[in-house]
Amino acid sequence: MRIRNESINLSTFCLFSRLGICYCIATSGLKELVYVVCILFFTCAPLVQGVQAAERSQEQAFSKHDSEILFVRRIGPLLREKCLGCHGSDPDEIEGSLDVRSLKALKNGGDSGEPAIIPGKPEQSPLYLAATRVSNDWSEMPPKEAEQLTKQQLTWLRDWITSGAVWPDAPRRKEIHQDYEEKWSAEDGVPVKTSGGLSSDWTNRKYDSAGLWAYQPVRKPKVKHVGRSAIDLLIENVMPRGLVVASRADRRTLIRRATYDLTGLPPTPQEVHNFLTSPRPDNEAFSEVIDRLLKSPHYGERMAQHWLDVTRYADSSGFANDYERGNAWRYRDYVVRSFNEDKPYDQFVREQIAGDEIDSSNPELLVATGFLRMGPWELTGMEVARVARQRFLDDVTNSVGETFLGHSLQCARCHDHKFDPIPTSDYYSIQAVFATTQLSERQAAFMPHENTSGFDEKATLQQRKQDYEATLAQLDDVLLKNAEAWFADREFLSTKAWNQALTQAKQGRNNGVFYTARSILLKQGVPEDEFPPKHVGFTPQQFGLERVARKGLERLAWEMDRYRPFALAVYNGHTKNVRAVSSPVRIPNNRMEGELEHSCILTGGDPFAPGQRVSPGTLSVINDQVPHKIPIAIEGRRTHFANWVVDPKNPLTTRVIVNRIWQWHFGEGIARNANNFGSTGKRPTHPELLDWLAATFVEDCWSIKAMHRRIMKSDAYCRSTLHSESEKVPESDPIGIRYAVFKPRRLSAEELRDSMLMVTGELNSKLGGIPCRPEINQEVALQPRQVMGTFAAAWTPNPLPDQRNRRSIYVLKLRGLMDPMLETFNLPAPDFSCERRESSTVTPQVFTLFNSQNTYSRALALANRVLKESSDDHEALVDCFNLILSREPRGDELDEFMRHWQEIETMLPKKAITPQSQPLSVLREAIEENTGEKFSFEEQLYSNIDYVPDLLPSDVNRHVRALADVCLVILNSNEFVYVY
Amino acid sequence: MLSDVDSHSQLYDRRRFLLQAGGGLAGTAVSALLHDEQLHAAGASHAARFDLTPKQPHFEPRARSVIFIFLGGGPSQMDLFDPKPALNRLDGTDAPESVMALNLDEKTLLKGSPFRFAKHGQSGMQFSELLPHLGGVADDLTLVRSLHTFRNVHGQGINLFNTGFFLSGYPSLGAWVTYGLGSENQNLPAYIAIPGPGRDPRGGARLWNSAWLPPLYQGTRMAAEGLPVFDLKRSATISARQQRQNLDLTARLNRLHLASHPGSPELETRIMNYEMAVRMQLATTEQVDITQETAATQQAYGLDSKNEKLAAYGRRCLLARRLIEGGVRFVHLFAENQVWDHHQDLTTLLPQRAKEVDQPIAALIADLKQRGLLDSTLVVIGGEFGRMPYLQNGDGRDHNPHGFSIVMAGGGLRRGLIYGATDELGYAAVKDKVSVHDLHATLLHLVGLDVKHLKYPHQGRQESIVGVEKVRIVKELFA
Repeated sequence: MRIRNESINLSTFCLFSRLGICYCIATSGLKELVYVVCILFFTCAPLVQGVQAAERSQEQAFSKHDSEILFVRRIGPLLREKCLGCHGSDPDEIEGSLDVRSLKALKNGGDSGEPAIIPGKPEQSPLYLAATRVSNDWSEMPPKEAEQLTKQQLTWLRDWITSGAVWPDAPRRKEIHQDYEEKWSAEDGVPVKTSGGLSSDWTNRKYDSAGLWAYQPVRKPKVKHVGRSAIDLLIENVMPRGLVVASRADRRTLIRRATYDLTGLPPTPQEVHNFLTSPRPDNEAFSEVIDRLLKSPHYGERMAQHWLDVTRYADSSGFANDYERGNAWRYRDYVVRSFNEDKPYDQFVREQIAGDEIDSSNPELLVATGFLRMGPWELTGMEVARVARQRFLDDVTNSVGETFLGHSLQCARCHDHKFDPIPTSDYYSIQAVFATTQLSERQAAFMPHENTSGFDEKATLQQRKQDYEATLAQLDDVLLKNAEAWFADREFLSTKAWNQALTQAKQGRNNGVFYTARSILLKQGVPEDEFPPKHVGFTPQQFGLERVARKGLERLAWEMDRYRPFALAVYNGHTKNVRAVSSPVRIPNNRMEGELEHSCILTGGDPFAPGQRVSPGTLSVINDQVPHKIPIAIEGRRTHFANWVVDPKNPLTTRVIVNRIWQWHFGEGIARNANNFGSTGKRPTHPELLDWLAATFVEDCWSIKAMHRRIMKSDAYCRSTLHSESEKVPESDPIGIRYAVFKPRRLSAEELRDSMLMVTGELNSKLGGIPCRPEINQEVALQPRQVMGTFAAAWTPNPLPDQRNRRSIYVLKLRGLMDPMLETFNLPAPDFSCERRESSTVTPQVFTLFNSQNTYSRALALANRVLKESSDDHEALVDCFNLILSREPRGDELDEFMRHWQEIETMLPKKAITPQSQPLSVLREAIEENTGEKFSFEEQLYSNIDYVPDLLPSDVNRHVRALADVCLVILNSNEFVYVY
Repeated sequence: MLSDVDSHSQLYDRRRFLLQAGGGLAGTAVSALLHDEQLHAAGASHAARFDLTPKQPHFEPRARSVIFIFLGGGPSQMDLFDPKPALNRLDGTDAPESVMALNLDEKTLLKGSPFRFAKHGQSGMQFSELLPHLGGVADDLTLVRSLHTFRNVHGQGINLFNTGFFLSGYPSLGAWVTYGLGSENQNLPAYIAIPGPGRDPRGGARLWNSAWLPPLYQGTRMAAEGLPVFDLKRSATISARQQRQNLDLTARLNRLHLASHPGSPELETRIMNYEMAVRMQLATTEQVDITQETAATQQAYGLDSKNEKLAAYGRRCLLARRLIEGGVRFVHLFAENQVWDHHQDLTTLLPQRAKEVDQPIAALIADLKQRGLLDSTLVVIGGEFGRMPYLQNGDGRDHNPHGFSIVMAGGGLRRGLIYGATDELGYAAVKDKVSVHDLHATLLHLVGLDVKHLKYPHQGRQESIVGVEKVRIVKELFA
């Protein structure tokens, strides 16, 4: 109870309660709305009584004046809405003779002969009793359950009767209306100007002003800071009285916190040492650390990870085919570069939305538009092209809304937004911005700053390609032979046309002759029963092999694009009539071929139910503040839209990004739904601070690095996670929003993996480049993965440790195959924008971190490293602690761990067990789809031929192996897994 | 129902941890309160915890656990579950205009069923000759012939049937049930998915994913052959004794750490998880050991069959029973890939597919019944859509979203009931129609969950498995 009382203005609340009016703020569904209202009312009633007891008793709580106001405000409309239909609107047909059109009529009552209301006595008033639906004497009213009065409405009715059931006359009613209009309007909500909804009801509806905070102009609060950061002052301004903040964290904690926050990696023991021994004052020494970290190239990787979570980065297309997006990695690297360069955020946004329009000759800007392509998408022959096109348009509309404007726009796809002032016409106006945007893997030369190493890995793809081609060539021979047999069975048929077609087909090619010949005859109009059918005489095995090879080649074409100078991008033009997309799409010679899309409101979101036409536009709710000039020409729509997004006056864009940056440091945003600044998202806990940050961000020329500095230098960021009176904190800050202590966080999946590689010294810290494939659980790697019509290729790790032990942001991210280790630690699936990582604590994480081959390999590598780098066992163990935990062993720890090491050593066999190595092929069995018979083939895993394992137990002696167990324990410790 | 997930703020919220973990107050009221707080307090750092302890259902459940058998591809209703004499009579004639071909270029000649139907049991439930074993347990089954869906391509239809939404990335039905009810056995995974035999289903692991529900509710993939769960066993390089020692040292290190960071439920949970993992390692290995079953039981499921696919499917069904017996909440069985997709050669292929599952599924139902588990276990068998009454590719049928059948059995259902009907050609559900959303809401109802309250906040929205669709609880199916 206490919690709620604090968050609500007490006096307002009392007044409302007196009239029986309780307001529900921020709900996201009708069900909850009712729920919340009820709880609020009942829990607060005693409070109201308590506060008012001194003034008047409860009976006196309602004056006659209250009664007439309550009538005008509530009871009149209620009777009209709930009763009048049967009890007065048609004076000739009044149910039960009860007329609700006047007080007199109510007092007269109906057929029962009893008055419907007895002023002052609700419990004896049939009108009230019938409405409560629990009376034995009076039937439930209104009769339909769906129309029953809410508890709130019942309370109004009761209070009105209790207070004497005053029914003012018409002139008095008008007077009351005039007197209270403004007040009620503020209480009921405010109207909002938009481009208008499908109905006038929607257009004229009112909003709880609290839910409209995000559309208000950013106002920079004036803060007098005398040597203190404005951030701290704004936090302290609203700090509950008596809440003491935690002291500053120690240097060891701070450097770990800052290094993880800015690079996603642990600090090296040397870095820790330097900071701990720096003679400069705490804040200056820490400033230096921040500056150093912001210059680290790993800073861009860490920030890119955050950004790619929001934009749903993946290296494959999802859906049934899950084709690889060979060029997606260039967008990923563009994001890393942009953060490292501290590219002004407004420019960053413009490039991602409209890079191609800004300068199509600059490959960097083409690569940037990969943002628009991040959603899952495909077009198979099975689907209607218009539906698939619409899926793209819906995806990009919503994505732009969530990413930059903090609004999930999809809610307005089928109807005007239920809660926010976003009419469906805005949704389709924004969609119209993209109506001329076409998907393409566009030519974009590699740039000197791109990492183009490792392209030689395509040799293994070539081997696969040759295999498939050889299979198809063999099967072509089979078909040609079968064709002869087919004709031999049909002596009555002439082979002349067939043989001619064969001759023609063989010219200049030596495979696919059979199919070429068939298509020649088909084109000539030769009846199909006069030449052999496709697949003539195939056995189930041959059917299967043909399909695997054909589909395999199709899939390889996408993979091979990885090494070619193309970008996952877009161009402007008409929408071509395409039935299926099964290979990378290049820009057509004629971009104006096909349909010029005219955007309409789609009724119910159905692409085949076009409604009113719309022009390219923006979110109309803020158009007064940020006018737009979006042309209807094919070119330039996105540029103008992007300019509108990053207009410094746009109140959403700046708040959304500074809120994200804040969240990247504190784990939670100031507004806690980073993708949802609408009324269903949570309100900012510190609205003034949010506005200060947003305004300052623009003053800092949209510099993200400057924002990090401001945030990280604040006292709030440097606070300890421990509090001297920790049990008292929840009393003043029950829901943990006051920044009195710093909140620890669990390492993200990627940080966990990257940290392990870093402390073992195995991490290849090179930036960017084609995706890498680390070793993952072998069962997952080799499991048969079904894609449309065939198997996807098995996951094969890169052959060399250096190639695969790269940072996790570079791991090949297939929508259909996630690394189970990363997934267990809450790697989000790239289907949706992830506004904030979850961090659950579940048992399978133990299997992953304690049992897996992968963690064991890291532990072994670490043991080997520290023993090599140190002069004795003690030093080696101390190094382990320093590397993993940034501290030396304390108290008995050293002895205990030494003992453990020795004990394990006695248990170990002299000769190490070598774990299974990478297989060179895998047998695939399946039911062939044409024949329903079983067929099988062997998938060759060419890249495993050159596989070089990480350090193996057999490479080291028992002493090292025993230390590996010790390392495994430390890597499983809470102290390692959490950042404080 | 519950409040939002929260990560590190949990560390500070011991009070609420005790409320929830203690179970005493963890009923609806507290959940509602948390929910309320979350909605109200501006930017509240609500710290609900998620665990797998049994949860109070919304109302008296009719079933405690679920076996969801998904036959991907679209099994043909008029050849298996829904006899259509009129269609047989009209075989080879032009389809009426009311039958819309999915592919407009297609010639639409009606195709009768090549298979005979027969009545079974006292209920007289009709199945085709392809399902003799299911016929044998007809009186324990509940047949719904009026399903319909709105997606006619596999990927999207499969997503819809298993997760309630046609795009990928939504929590599966099993995750929702586990979220709502927790688990009866803390030593086994609460929700288990068994793919195959052979290839994974179209859609793969996403069909048993928790998506944005906490990963705790994700289905654990279990193999019916080989090691059942990934990384369940310790690495080959580490002996049992060694592992025990390592665990003990980890626990000591973590407790020491906890002492300097008191009041952190998440740190405590992580310590407990290590012990739990050890127990799960043992319990799971034990529970999946089907060699403990008698030869008669194994034979009943077809484990001795020369038909490898039948034997493999039998192993899965038997495994499902053992897991349910062990207290697993939701077992999600799959067929290989989408092998029930018969655009051609239906007359030869459908009998093969039916043979592979008929005996095992019937044995499962009989076995559950014999052990008294059928009353508390809900079994559902079906695919993402049905098939068309018209001919395709000489001897096949195209996808049909307008009408199809599913078979159910057990917990709280009226046995021997045939519910709903398609038109005389089997083209569209016409009587007592049941949408996929209705089905999901009804299944939840049977296990005591109210779809209107089984919600989860995701990015500021209260999501449910039926989204914003209106649903009907098909109470006519209830006993």
